[in-house]
Amino acid sequence: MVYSTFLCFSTFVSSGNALKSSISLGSTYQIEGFPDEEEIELCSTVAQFIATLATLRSWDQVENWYGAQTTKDYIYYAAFGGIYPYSITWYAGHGKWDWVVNWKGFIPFIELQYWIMDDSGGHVLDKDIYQCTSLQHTRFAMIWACHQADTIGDTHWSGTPFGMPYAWLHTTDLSSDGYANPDGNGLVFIGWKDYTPGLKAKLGGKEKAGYNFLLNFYAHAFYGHSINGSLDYASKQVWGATVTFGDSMFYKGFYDPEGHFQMKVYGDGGHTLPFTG
Amino acid sequence: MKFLVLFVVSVTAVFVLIGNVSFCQCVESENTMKKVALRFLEEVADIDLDAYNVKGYRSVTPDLYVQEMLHPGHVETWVDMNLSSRSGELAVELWFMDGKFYYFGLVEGTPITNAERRIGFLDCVRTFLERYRAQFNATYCAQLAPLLEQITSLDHEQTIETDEAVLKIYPVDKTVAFVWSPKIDGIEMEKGLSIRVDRNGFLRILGDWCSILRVGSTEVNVSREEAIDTALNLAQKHVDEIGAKIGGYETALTLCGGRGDCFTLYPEWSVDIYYDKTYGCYYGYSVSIWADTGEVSYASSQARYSGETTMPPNPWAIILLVATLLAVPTVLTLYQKCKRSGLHVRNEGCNPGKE
Repeated sequence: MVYSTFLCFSTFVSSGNALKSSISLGSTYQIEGFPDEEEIELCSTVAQFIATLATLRSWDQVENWYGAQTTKDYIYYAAFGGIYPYSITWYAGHGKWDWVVNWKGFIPFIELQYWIMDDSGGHVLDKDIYQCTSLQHTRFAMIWACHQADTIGDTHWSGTPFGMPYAWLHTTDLSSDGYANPDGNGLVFIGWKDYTPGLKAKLGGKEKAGYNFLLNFYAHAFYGHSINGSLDYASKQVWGATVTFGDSMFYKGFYDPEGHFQMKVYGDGGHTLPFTG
Repeated sequence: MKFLVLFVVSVTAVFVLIGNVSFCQCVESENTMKKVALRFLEEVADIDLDAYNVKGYRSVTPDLYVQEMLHPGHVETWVDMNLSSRSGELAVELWFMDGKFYYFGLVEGTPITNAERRIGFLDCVRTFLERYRAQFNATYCAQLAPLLEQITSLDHEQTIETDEAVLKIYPVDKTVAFVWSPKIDGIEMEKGLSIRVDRNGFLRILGDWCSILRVGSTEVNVSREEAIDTALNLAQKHVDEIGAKIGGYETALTLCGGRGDCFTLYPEWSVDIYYDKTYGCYYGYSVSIWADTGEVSYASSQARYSGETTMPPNPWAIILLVATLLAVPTVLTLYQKCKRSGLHVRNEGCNPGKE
């Protein structure tokens, strides 16, 4: 069913010597009033920033689908990567998990599946994203949503895959700390374990820390620096010259009054986005 | 016609010349940065360049759009160098703002240094600072050096504060970081000079924001109480909206950028209001106010993403599961009954009275 949706996209996937694709996604759907207008504005700017960077670096397909265009099908398309063998994705919005009935023959299993939200509040499950990534076109996914990096993932008793890193990268063979121990496989997933701070939040005394972190990270990454190097650069720009990503509150984790936050890098932090110039 | 041709040729010539001039400037700037980079490595970081071959050199100046998004009106350049020697490789990075050095980082490797290290760790730190001061005319390094005398331990975090500056010491793994923020008219700068030195005595990081920052004003016309009042008033609407209760607040006065030129600093009050608990996605409200003008620069509710809509297990799923669990013992019981009542099970299943 998921694959059939790709046919719809064939109309706007141009042919040619296309190689690289960058897709920005994000849901503006509010839960308890968040993301509010200010947060949406910042997310939208980041999405546009990534798209412009990819355009400036002559990437072959560049899409900014933040907002209304972040539908289930477009998320599946981003996961599939289209005809582009190298694809990166950024997403911002709400995320968590659901208890879902998975069938193995006639036997139902109630199992935990992670989700991100489409723009109308629908849950897009890891197991459905997984169905779109068998070609492993997605090499780098950063998902700015809660619980996306709670686990790398695995396969349930029912035979259903779970876990967002597994879903986006189609493998569980990922370093559990791709920053400190990059596995060299060229696939990277960055997400948040437990909660995710808003881009506008003041963290470590710095206003809009998440927003500035992302701008600096993507600026560095699109100009031939490794994911780890770019995480370090972003961290130093936000919190000070001696604060590498490894020393930062994002990597070490932090608490608000009722929740824990930690950014996780799975896979190959040594990976560098294709760069010519 | 001749005039037209002459005009076109002369205009073209002017454009070519202008182009060449600009090209030359660019190459000049590139060369200057490379020279500065090598000078830093040799004269400040104390790396023995004779022992290395420059295997790779790359200088990247991001597109104007990127510069405008990150630091409007300024141009940043990133220099990456790979050095190789018989004993191993070295990767270093240096960052320049408007052609001016402001950051060095040792990314990979252990450097071969010019001098044998017979001096203590803090002496190494002093030497790096002194060299940097001398080579890059960073006179403010002289203010940092005396603070090093007050360090009591390099194994614990420590903050040394004087009327002129704040020095924070962070031991991190096998390194120690020294973060120095000068005070101008008693107000601390948000960024200053930081140095991180390996316990083996080589320089890992030197970041000098003092070289690119300048102070626009230190005039404070808004008192702490006024700043708190403004912040509480701004937060009140949000507090009422979500029915939150304020648990406390913190204030600080620092010299910050972000008004007009991003590297020009002005005094800013920051008031962070915390709620007594998390209300939905919201846990507080932060306000920043320029202390010289009273203008609010940042007023924002503090929130996190969540996903509190997790559905409980589908009731149909529970029914199916329970039915499946019940079905297994029922089938087994029936099977046993079937066996006991003289029915026999063969390959083809349960066939009554075949024996």
